[in-house]
Amino acid sequence: MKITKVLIGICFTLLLVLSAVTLRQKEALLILNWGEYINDEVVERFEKEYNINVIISLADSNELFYSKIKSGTTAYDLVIPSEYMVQKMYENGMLQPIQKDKLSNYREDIFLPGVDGIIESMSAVFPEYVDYQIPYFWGTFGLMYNKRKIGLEEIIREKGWDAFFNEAELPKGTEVGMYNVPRFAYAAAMFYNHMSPNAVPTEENISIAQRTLAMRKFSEWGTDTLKKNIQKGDLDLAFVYTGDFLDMLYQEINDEVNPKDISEIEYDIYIPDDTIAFMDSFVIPKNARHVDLAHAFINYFLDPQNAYDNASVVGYCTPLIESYNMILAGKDTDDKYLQNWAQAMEKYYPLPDETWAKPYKGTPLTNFDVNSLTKITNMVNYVKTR
Amino acid sequence: MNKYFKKLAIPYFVWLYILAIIPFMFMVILSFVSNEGLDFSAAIFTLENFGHLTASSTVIAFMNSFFYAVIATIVCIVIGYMVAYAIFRSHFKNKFLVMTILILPMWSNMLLRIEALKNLMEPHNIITDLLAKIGINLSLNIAGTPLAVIIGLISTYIPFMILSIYTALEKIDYSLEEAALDLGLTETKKFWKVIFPLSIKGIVSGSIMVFLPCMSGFAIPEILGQGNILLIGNVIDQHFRNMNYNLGSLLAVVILVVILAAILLVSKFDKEGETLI
Amino acid sequence: MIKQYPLYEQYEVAKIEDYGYKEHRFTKILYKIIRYLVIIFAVFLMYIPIFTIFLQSINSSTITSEFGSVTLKWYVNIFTKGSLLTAIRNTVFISIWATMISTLLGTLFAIGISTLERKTKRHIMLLNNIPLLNADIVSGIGLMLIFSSLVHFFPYFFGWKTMLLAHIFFTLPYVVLSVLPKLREIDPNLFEASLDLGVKPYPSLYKVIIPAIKAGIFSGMILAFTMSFDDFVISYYTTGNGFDNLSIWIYSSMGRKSLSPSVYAFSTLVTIVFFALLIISNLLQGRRHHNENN
Repeated sequence: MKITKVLIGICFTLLLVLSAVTLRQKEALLILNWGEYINDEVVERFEKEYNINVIISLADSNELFYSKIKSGTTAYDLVIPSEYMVQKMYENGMLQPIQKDKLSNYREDIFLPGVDGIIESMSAVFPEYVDYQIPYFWGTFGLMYNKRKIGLEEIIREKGWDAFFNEAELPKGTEVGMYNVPRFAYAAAMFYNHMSPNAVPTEENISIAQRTLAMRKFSEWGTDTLKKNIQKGDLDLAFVYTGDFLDMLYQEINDEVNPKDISEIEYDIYIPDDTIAFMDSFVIPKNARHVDLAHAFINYFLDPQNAYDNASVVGYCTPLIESYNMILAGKDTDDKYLQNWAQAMEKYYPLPDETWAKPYKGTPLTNFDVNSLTKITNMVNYVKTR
Repeated sequence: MNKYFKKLAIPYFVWLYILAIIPFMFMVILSFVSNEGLDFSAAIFTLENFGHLTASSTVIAFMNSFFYAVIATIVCIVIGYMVAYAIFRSHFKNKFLVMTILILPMWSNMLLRIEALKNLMEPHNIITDLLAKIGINLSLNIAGTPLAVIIGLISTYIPFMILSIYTALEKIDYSLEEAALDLGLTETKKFWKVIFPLSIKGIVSGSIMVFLPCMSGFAIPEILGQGNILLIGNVIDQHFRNMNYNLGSLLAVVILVVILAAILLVSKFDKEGETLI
Repeated sequence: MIKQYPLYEQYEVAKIEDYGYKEHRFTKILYKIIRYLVIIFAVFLMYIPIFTIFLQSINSSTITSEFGSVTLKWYVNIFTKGSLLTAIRNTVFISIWATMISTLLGTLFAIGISTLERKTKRHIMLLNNIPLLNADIVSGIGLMLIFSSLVHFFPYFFGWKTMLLAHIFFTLPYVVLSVLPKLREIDPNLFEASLDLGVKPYPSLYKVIIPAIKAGIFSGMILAFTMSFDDFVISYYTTGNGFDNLSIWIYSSMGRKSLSPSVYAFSTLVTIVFFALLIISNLLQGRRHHNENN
């Protein structure tokens, strides 16, 4: 029996130590972010430099960001929502302006032309946009496809959305997946009909979208599962974030055991001109407790080297022109990984040339009210249960 | 012992009234108003939410939920009873060990388990890869089908059924069995006339423990059904995601009514409402 | 020690033919085979995901559908990945404390409930079932609303405090439900006898009643721990100030990037540790029985 008592004693001591460690409350900068959307090493550097703890909470949708801030349960110091949610948060008086004089790394000309383009287009409907956010990452959606399916690549690159929705156009037995967010499915249907993804969901538009989505049976409505299934070869085509694709790609070219060359990858992505663009940016909520530190954190990520390090683990595009060039400079090194990374960046997040109508691809989504979203959700559910 | 420990129950009454009843009332109120998120400043009374209840997809989702939950429960009863009975009749000394082995899979995160199950249901996965290395080509392609969802529901919730039935079986007085044999019943008859009726309580409570999460869960149909199979839990989740808390609450309240009906059913079988486990 | 089980082996049981019934030997064998198959199927269904998770945790390839070679690096990685380690620590902290507190309180509450008269008992048991049967999302949002009314007084209230309260809230009913049936089974005279012998009510509660309902307390404890350890939805809505548990970490990490295999490693580690503990405790118990018998 002595042994049991000793064991219980040890367990209790361990528990008390664990509790003490867990409850040790330090002053901390509270950030609300998407999952795996930041390089932990850069954050650690920041923690050391400023001698502060950074705690990152996670959420997986813009709407959850909004709910979390609105409910007031936690006073977050920094949040990273997409552009339309910045607007909504601003309109509900939840944000405070960014004090640009506190950002020593900030100048107006540090961003890529595409980022400036998105800011400009947002400012047309929401002039305060530029004062309330600093870009963090940006990117597009695209049609990710399986190269192993013969004939698929050609037809997707030639016909884009027409092929995506028309079963007859695609090679026989092509398995197609759709992103399982009703708002994105609605946007895709609108692209097929050459309409704006932000077209108000009137009765008519809803029925157009419904007809389009019902044109084919999607074998999968998924989120992160789509990219994995294309990689495995269980799915042939899907509408996903470009970052989803790059995430898979980086994983394979960076594999410790068997790093692949970019030319060996068996899947690719086609980014049509009509697609969703998005930009996630830092915003500071009104009730933030560490406003100065939040600015310091933003400033830290405006440093080109830090942004470069940060971009190396995230499959989206850095907003900084200098970091972008640093990535492209990898082409001239001997490092296989850096070469591949530079190639991928250049191919999938290209700089605009004269043939482009605007400096970025795609259209940023605007915010729909609850009622419209409910209508879209019901429509998509109808398509699924049909 | 009555007079000494009666007051021990009072704090629990207070606790339950605050933490169980108030949120429920709140959900009821939410389903009758229209507001954004949890902000009541612009709330207006409306019955509009009820209109969405009859949307064909919602009705189908309700029916799907019911249908899948019933099938999963029935299969769980059959399999669960056999397993529980086998454990009951076995010669294991340590029944805790048996129970913990049943519960052990639940200590891995549910989402990970479902993802793993989904991978197994697809043509390419880690096990087919390993099998292919030793020359066996074997694969399954059922992800996204109703069968996949039902298998997922069963594998996730069957431990509850086994535990409930086992608990009921264990309570049966052995002298009843002896009496049955003395009175000339065969083993089979003894089972149907004595043991089975006495274990019905366990089946009922087990069924409820299986049926309800099957009805209201959303992760299993979402992942194993590859988004093609819509249960009511998915619809509720979608509306909460869109911040339509009103419609979400309304649907949740409707489910709660179903649940309360289920509880009444339990208390019909068990007047003291104690055998939910 | 008297051998208690199984009794029917001690007596001569009459053969079916003795009573003039027909022996359905074939049906019985068929049933036996089916029964074994079903049991194997059930265990297979429950454990195949665990086995796959285990395979993934020792897989060197990050591609989930390919097996590279055996590696233990994901196990090492658990301890280097800051946010994952914090999430694991938080999960263990919350579930252990929630289990201990709700086991203690649940047992006391159950003892209190068992002394109530029938009608009040039904009333409280109906309430007790609500947290158990409610859709998680409703409980989560409801608790969040109640807790947030206190934020004005305690600005840092959300976090481990709210999550712990929420976990106690939804684990208590399991403990109460496991303990109550055992309380019904014990002999009321035991308690009276101990009082007659001059023991005060609460000490005799500890000395007489608790040992008699130990089995119920233990199974309630295991259920409570299981529920708390795996919870996502309620934790998600009731946490705050950066206090995330493992489920929240996993759900949120799945959105934009693929999951680190270290999660599989941790999951496997949990299974192995508990399995080892079980075997050890069983061996110890077996030895104790052995010693007592000698």
